[in-house]
Amino acid sequence: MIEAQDLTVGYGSNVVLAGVSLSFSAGEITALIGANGCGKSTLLRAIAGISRPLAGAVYLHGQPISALGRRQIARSLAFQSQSPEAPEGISVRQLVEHGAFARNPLFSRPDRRDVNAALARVDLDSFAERPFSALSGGERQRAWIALVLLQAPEMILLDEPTSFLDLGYQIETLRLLDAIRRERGTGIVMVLHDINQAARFADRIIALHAGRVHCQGPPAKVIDAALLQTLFRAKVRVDQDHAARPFVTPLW
Amino acid sequence: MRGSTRRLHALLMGAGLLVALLSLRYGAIEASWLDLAEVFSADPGPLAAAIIELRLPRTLCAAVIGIYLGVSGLVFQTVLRNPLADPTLFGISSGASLAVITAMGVASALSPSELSQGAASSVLPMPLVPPIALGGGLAATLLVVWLSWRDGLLPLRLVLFGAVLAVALNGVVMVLVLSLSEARTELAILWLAGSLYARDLANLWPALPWGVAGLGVIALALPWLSGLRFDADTARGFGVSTALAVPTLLAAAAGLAASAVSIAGPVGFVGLLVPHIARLLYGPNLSDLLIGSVLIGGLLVMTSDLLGRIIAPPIEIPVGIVTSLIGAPIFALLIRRQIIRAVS
Amino acid sequence: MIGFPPARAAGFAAVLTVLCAAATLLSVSAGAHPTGLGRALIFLWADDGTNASYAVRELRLPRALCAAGVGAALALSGALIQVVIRNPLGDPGLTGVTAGSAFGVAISLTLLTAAPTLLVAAGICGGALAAALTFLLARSDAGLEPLRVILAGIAVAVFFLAATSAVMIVSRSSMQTLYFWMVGGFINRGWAEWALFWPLASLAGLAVFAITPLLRLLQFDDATAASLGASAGLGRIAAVALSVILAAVSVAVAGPLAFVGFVAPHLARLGLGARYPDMATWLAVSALAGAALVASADAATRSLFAGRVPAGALITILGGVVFLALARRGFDNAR
Repeated sequence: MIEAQDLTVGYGSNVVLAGVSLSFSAGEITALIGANGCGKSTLLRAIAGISRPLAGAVYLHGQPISALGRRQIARSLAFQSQSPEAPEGISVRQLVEHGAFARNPLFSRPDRRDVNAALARVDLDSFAERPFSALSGGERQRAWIALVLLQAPEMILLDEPTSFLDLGYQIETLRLLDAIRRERGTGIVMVLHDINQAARFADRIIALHAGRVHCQGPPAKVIDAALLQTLFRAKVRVDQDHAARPFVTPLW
Repeated sequence: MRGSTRRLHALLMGAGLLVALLSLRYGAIEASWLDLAEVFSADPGPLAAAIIELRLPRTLCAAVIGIYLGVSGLVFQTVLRNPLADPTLFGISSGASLAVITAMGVASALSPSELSQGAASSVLPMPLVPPIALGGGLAATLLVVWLSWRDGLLPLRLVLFGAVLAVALNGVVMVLVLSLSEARTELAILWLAGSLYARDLANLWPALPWGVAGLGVIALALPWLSGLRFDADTARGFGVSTALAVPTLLAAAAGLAASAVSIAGPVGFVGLLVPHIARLLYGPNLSDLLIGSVLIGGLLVMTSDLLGRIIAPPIEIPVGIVTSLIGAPIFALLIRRQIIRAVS
Repeated sequence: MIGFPPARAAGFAAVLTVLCAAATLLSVSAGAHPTGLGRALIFLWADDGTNASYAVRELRLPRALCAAGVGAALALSGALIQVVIRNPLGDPGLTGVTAGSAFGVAISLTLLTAAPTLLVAAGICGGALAAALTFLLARSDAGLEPLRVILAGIAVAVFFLAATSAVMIVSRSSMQTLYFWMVGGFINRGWAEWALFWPLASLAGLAVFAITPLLRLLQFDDATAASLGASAGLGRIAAVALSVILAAVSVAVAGPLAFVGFVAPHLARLGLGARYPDMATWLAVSALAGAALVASADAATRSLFAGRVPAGALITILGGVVFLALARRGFDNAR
């Protein structure tokens, strides 16, 4: 569904990743891993068509994303930055309503039932009229996900969706995303710092290193001690957890 | 003192003298060097007499304004630890302007006859102007500081609130100016633009005692100023009594700025630019910076006044407008640099 | 299927409309030769050829219309700036636009021509130049930092004000006339000014409402706006362009009125009571509030100072006080 060909991304003239070719399909959870500053976020933004790649192109359903309108793109994919900013004073319901912008005619209001359904799906129905700023971190994350549900894209790109959350909210968020994938067949691409989370929830891991894709594949095939030594210069032991997924323990 | 610093002092001093001479020579009527030399003769010709009568006092005024504003700016920027601080940008000028224009209005309302159409000085007793400007300037400064105080002074807040207060006070000034009689309206507008036109020594004398006192306080308090370059807690750790030092230094600096405003009306951006140029030339040593600010300030305002006179003769562009036109772009660049620094 | 605004919005809008109408009526009937309210209304209906009728129809009515129209335009202009920089401290004056327009108009008035169309064109050019300068100065890779926009705007504004003064003095025009104009107000504004103001202003105003869906998304950060389906960059350019046009035509008619663009949207927010009012409702009520404010200020200055002091002075003073009060309260939350 999304096809990245020969992408080169970076800041200004500073190239971080060069010649990256990747493809993403609906119904799949992909995790991008790599060291700080290796270009994960920049790559994600380029795939979402938000920042321009220095070279190469991204194709959405076979069409170059740079040629598509923002609304058209938004119907197919949603992007969530690491710390999205909500307008001052907005309520949870009002926030979620903005998800309908790309789908509905320009001067229409979103159907109240759709909004309620999205809120109910993330268990925020009783919070609907509260100010967004009064929510906890995990509740905010759920509100953003409700917004994406209303937007109903085929693909959701998330930049470190669990970074600012405590352990409980981290698990809750990832489970919610996993459930959405199963219910709707939505593809999910996310940058994750926690290798264990990536291994547990992703169908495919893409490891970025030294300005290119180091390797990609199912977690069980890709994640081993050698990879983490290369990526993070970290000594680890890799076991299997109860779900037969790789499980990483740092060796101190 | 290092040799390079001494050379720089000498160089600036020389430039100042040169500009002063040029300022005496050029203007609406261009004098020759011979006319200029005649100034020293026992019996000066009419042109030389005019130079003594008109251009000499005005050049002196320009130098004094520059010195006051330069030093004032240095103290403000150091004490507030804010490189964007400029006395004219936060309320001192507008407060002083308001006070002076109010006094003009009151004086002309009180004066029994309309015989004093010529100059404000003849309605409003000249020795009163500096204290009035001083009071207005200090009051406005206090107001801005009070408005922007929240657990200390946020530099950006100070500049924003100062700018807004300046606009609002300017609104009051506008009402007053427009309710003055026609002849005085023009006078007030010129005064508000920061003009040195027809300034003579009578304008200068009243501003001297305040200014000299302010300069003296600042020179004596230089060790304090040096300690205040650090944050308040650290400064206290050095043994600087911030509760005494900050108000003293700010009051002295505000007094200097208000005195400068009292001579020629608001002259913008000098207080902002001079310390930056001084830091660029002299580096961080405070006593060098103080002397440097004196020299550069005088040079800058004298040059601006000269430029204003020779750009479009016989019309004079008020010195305040020249300094604003030069200063605003540099201010913009300084903000830009702050932005870049903050991002990277 | 646009939802009905809540009763409170309707009530507040009604109050503002009444206020605006009352100020306009006061303006139309008061003056050097006061006309009774009833007679003024009759004159509006039918011209009976008397001097009083002439005063009402040809002098006071266009002036009152200009005041209300400029108020609405400035309010919309300020609201747009507030949306674009995502900070409630926005005002066309604080982004340099007003000063830039004033400079353009002053250049046109003193050096080129006083022809109304050129005046407006010069105002728009000046405003656009100033806006471009401000946003270029404040721009960085991290996006637009609201306070930096305002700081850059102050620098740009001071520069253009100084330049305007220089133009005034160099051109040897009557300083008093220009100073009067720089204060801002509606003295001697007539049908000619109105004729050049309303087509552009109402077109731009309509355009503002046409892009409200886009404006809603501009309140998010750029990446989120993009994800939701709006190009933040394009949206900002459109919004700033409309803001410049609205501010510039207002300045061309009334001179640089300070703070209306800041105060009116705030009044609307307060009046609507909602923490996050609907964009279209907020814009409409802001425009009404601006119209009511400026119309009242003009009516007040006419009755209090007998026309010697332009409305701009009163607006500047009151606006500054309101700004300082609101900014002092809300500065830290607003960041």
